[in-house]
Amino acid sequence: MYKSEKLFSMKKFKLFTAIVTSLLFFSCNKQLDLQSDGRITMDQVFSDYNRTRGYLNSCYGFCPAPYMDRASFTDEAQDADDITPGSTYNNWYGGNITSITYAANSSDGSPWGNLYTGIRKCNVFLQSIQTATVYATDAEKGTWIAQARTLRALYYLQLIKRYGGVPIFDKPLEINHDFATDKRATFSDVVTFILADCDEALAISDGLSWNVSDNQFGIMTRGVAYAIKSQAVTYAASPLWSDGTYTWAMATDINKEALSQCLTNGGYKLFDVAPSATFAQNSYALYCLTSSNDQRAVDKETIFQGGAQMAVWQWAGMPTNPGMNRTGPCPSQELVDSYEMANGEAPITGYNADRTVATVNPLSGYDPANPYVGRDPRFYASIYYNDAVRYLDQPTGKKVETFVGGTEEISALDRKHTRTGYYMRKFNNFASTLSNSADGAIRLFRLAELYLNFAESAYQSAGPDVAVTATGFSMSARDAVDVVRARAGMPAFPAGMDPTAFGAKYRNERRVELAYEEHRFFDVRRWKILDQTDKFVTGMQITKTGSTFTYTRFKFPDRNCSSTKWLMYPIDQSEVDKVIGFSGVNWQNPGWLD
Amino acid sequence: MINKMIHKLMIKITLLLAFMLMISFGTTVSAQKQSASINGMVTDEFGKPLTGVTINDENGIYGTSTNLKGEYTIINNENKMLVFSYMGYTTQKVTTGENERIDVQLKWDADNKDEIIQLGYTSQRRNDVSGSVATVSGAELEKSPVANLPMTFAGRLAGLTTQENNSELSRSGTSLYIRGLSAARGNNPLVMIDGIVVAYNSAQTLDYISANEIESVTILKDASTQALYGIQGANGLMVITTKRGKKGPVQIRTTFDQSFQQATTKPAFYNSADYAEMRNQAAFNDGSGLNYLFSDAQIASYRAGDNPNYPNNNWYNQYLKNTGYMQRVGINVTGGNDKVQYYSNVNFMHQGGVFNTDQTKYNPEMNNTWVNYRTNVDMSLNKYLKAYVRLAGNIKRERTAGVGNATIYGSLFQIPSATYGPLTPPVLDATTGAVITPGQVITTEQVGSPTYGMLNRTGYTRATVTNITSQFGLDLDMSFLTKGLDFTGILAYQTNGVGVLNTTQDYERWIRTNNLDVLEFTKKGSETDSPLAYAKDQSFYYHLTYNAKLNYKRDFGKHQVGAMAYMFYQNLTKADNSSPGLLPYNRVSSGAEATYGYDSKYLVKFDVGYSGSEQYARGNRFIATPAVSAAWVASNEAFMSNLNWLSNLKLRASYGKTANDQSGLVRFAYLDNITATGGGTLVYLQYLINENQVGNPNIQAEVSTKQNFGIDLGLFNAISVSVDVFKERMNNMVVSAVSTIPLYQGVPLANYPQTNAGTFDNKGYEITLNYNKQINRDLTVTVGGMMSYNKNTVVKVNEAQKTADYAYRKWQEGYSYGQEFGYLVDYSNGNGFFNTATELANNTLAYSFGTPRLGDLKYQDLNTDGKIDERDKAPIGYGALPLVTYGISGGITYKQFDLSFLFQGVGQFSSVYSGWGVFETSYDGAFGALHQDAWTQARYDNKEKITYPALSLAQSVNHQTSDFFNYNRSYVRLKNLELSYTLPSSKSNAISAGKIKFVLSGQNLITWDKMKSKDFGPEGSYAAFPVYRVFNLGVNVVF
Repeated sequence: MYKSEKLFSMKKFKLFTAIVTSLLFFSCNKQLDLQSDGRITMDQVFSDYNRTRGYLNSCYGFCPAPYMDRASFTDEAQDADDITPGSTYNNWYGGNITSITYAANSSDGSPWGNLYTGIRKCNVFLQSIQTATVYATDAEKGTWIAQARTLRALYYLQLIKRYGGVPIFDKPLEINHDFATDKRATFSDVVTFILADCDEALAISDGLSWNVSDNQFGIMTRGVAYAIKSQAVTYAASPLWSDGTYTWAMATDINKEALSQCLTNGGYKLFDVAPSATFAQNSYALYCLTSSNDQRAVDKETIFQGGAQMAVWQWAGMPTNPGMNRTGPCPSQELVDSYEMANGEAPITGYNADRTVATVNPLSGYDPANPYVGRDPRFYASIYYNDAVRYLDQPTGKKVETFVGGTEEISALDRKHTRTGYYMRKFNNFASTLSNSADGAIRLFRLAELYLNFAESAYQSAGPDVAVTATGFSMSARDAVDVVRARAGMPAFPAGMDPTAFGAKYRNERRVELAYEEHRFFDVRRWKILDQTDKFVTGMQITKTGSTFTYTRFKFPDRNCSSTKWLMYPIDQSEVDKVIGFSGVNWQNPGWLD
Repeated sequence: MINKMIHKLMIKITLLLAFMLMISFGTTVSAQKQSASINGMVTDEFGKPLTGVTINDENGIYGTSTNLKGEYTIINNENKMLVFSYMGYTTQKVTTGENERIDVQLKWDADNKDEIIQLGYTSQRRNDVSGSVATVSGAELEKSPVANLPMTFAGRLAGLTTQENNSELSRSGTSLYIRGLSAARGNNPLVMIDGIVVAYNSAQTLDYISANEIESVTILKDASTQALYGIQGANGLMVITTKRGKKGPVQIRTTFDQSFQQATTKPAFYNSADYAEMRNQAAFNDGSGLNYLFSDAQIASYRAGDNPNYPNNNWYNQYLKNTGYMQRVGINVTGGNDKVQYYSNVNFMHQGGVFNTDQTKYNPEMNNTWVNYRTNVDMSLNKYLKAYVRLAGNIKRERTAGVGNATIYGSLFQIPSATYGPLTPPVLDATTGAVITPGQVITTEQVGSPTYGMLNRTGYTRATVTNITSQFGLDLDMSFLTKGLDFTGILAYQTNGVGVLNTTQDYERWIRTNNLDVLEFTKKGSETDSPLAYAKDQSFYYHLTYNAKLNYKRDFGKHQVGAMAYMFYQNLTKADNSSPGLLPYNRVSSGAEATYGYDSKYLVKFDVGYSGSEQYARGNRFIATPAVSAAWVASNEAFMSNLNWLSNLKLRASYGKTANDQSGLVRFAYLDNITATGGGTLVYLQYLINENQVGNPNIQAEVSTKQNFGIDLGLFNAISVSVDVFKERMNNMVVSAVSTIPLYQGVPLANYPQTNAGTFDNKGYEITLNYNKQINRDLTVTVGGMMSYNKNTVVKVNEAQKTADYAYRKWQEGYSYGQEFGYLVDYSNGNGFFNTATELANNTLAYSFGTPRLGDLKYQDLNTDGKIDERDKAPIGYGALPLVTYGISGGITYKQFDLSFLFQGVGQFSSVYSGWGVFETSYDGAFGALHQDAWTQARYDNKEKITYPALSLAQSVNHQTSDFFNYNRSYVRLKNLELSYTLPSSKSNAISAGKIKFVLSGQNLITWDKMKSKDFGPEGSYAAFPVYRVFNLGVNVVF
């Protein structure tokens, strides 16, 4: 009796548990699936017209934007934040930077990873578009491919000008990619790859356009492809990178093509709109305050803007500007000295060892007791100096007072006062305030650079005065420089200079024309003159007695950032360690190993 | 759809149970025959009445408990056996027979063998536990006069490491770790409250509970106790059981506490003259000459204090009150009969602020008010069916200034005492004296937001947090199928809503000009004075849990057999409004357990968890976590029964697996996450494809394999010793690609798939020792100690090896999680500084981060390459968690007096500190205690004490991670002391109260530590709210 009852119960029990368990387990897996949250697959991207364009859009935007801050890392400026404990500038000038801390202390961090992200996206696009099922005309596909290729070239150029030769990938890496097989290519190998990409992009018929249509601001154009080629080859022929692959003659060929194409077919032209005197001093100044736009209606000089509008008044402003934050890069005396007199003569021809005593060029008319008169018009557009008119619309109004005790006095104690005796004026609209930021933006590529690149290669391959010709184009190195100077209102270079003298004057011209536009940082490196330019900078202490100013040059402490290792960015140490883990090869740049 | 199906299913089950309830109601209730009642008294061995002894019949159907006089009355209707149980005493069974009075004397059991240990879904008699657990009662926790429950845990549970990482009054944050870490990340244990898993935001949920509503807290430490919980078990569990109604007379217990709170540490604060001198000294060291920043005359003016241009402000005293006040009131009501038992509780807490404010238009002073309540009702519906309802709620009202209290507290140390302020002098009309321009808030160049402004001119925030937990359960005795079988179904819902009234305001900042001879100010920044603006902010989350459980428990003679199976489905949302975090989270878990015991001597337990997480692809979604454990209670063997001194000897062992799905992965990490949106760089392209996480279809739950070996020893029925040794290994820890995959492959590393490629080890031991003895009727003595040691090792995290010229080529693998690396100071010359010009000149080591000056630190060139750089860094300290935690507690009960104490501490723990207050260069020079005796030539020449390298205005070679800044964070603390006096019952009865107790208690009373300075304590950091010391006066009245 007991037994049978128990058996009966067991049976019921089993049945009960079986039902309950099966019911409960039912549909567990489905319950845990992701129903849908809007994510799509790559196949869905490249089968749809809008999404394919969306992927191309995602290939854009990885190029570091130029920013005025870069000037503080060169002999163009001493940063007023050098007194802020632990500030980037404090560390940079002190040389307290390692391959691990570089990213936290450089002007643009360490864009290595970001640029390769962009390169991968271009590679994905270029690979996927070959087999994409998206319905689009071949012509449209061609323009997409041309854009992606140009972008890829742009990103590689940004990589090599910072890091030197880097590994080249022309397709996305497989998930099981063997990292041990990767190698750093040489600088010139990468340049070859860049040139090929640009050439392919330019060769696609209906590929790239010269024009930038509505809402296309920032698009890759033929001009951009030429500018990339021009800069890449000019760098490749420069002392730091030249390994014989690219000679100045080859550079001249490419620069000639780039410049002539932009001038004859592209409709590019140096900006020469005359401003109202109450707004800007000259067209060079106006250009720096004018935003580039998609129609290129006014600004026909900008090839690719790249930089965003800056709030110069706030981040490199004067203490008398309410709401300003810091003074940022204060123009160095060296930069001020590099502006020629309006007659085309250099004011200073030499210095004593610590540059506190300058040798005045007697031909120039430079008066050390009145140093800011009669200078290159670009000086007035770029530098706020003592006694400069503060507001152009009030010519007899407030003057800038950088003298000791003045309203914008020089000070070594806080970051809102100039450290050098000068404030940055280029890109700064005097009317800018918190509620009305009307400052300018730095261009990544503009026509003046193409003129100068051409001049740099041509004076070395053909000589300063020899005309180089192409279809509809004939220009010597001197001609090219003079076009740039003429826009600024400066007299031409004298004819008949020997290449050395021309080279020196050319470098000064490039420094002045492209001041604060990031070029100086890379130029002193590729010319390998960093150890001469970046050892220290000087400033101008001005005292006022009655109505007389006394000017005293003074030297800042030595900088510890001009040795060979500073010629290139270090690759992040963690990246280097990873590569060593795969292949045993140490990718770190020279000097950063120490 | 599927959700609905499960939902419907659950509704059906509930209806089914309700139906069964209805048809069986009434048929059984009247079947009891009424007989005479039994009276009696329960006492201890010395004849002292015991209050609250539970008395039940064998089946737990009829019961009661003793009153304050130890008396009870129970209906004697079955003429069977009565079970008397009371914590700390051996459970006694008495056959009622025909007796009308049964007096029972309970036997002291120092080993608590009959205590029921709550293990989450199951419970076991302590004697039968074969795994590893630690428990503490709510009554113990209640001794700590603090508002946040996690603050009461320290030193009370062997194997639990607590870290108080935020000490803001009544809003503290404590991280809890069971046996340290199970993986290389800081996962906290799974918290379970009354059988319901709190899968999200458990730290906050713990704050919603007051210690006085807690019956017990158990931590589950080994695989055999964790395996059942599958993917949620690997980090250990904390099982909290709240009080339930007790059969017996109604008991009302009220408590009132008034607490006084004082900071335990206070950073050094220098007067303005000292500050100026130290800044000058720093400038001098930097090569700027004497009196670079302040002239002697200026310093003299600061010191004289008679010129308002040269102020000396003590911001700390100005803004901070010395004492905070907290009041707590609690009422507990419990009672019940055989049909209904109830426990009801309400607590009220008020925390007063510690800031001095100066705003008349609104009140920005911190202030917290909490009310929480809990009602647990158990009902016996009929012979087979029981039901229970648990409702708890918490309403918090918290007010702070427009910025958080911690930020405001920290800001006290930013602006130097020499700064004029806090407001600019108002501009007055010369003739009328009327204010033309009111004072504006003064700050400095380096300080963005000064204390005054944050406290008085940023508005206020008023947050109302409402947390409601409801639980409904039905318990069906299925003995109609087979005896001992029982089915439970639970539906639980926790909802949490936060409504915030944000009022915001901004204010102008002004800076004094550099000329100290005049009071001139210039405006800083773009901020303007703005009127108060209002905004409302809210967030919400919920947990919805369905739980079904089958339980089987039956004794066949000496064979004790038990089995359990459960099924759990949880659906929750987080307070996260971004995709994919806003989608509800789902979890399905199940598990089964089988136990077998023979004669309470040989015990075996098998567990298996089978649980699934939506985090993984279908093929990897579910994981089984089996475990087995066994125990041998040797002292119950016949051959040992004559050893009277040996009251307990038990050997335990367990082995098994438990898992974790909280691996720091993004949601749905097995899927690629590509989305299409608008935007992008080129407007004309219109669309933008975003490539986010790259999925890893093979990602799966992390599995931890754990072993535990333990021994419990009881001697003379007074001393109990317990030792556990454990070893854990996780072979498939989820590791990121960051450390091996190069960036140049082009997928941002944050999006690169993570893999199960890591290995993590954890091992250690716990020892507890207790002496627990009732000496006589009036005197009981308890002394105990516990110590735990956990050491983890990161075995494999895919770390890339550093180059051969590194002194240490790996900085993670082979070390504990959170291992710090830094330079080692070269103390070979005695003090580690460059003391003389010769010594500096002879230095051949090039520092890669600057040039050393006189008085700077000398570092060791570990790789002997003549340079000091990253390659010379060496391991410093022990990792992220202390290796050793311990507690020593005890108490004496003598007549009406009760004294208890708790010392708690950690050992083998250190951290490298940096930044503000540790470094002197932050803001406008923020000096801590060590900086006063910084290196100077004079100090060195005079052989004075030197506590810091030469000061500097800007970063110098000293400001590197080095062992100079390694602070030993081990400490011992008199954590808690409580003295109470209970009024003799004659007196309390006079005011018709059963029992009146006066309590004097303290928390964090004394700390002994080895920190380099007294600026901050071993648990805090400079400028963070310090640990607070609490003095408390309390009264408990029981009616």
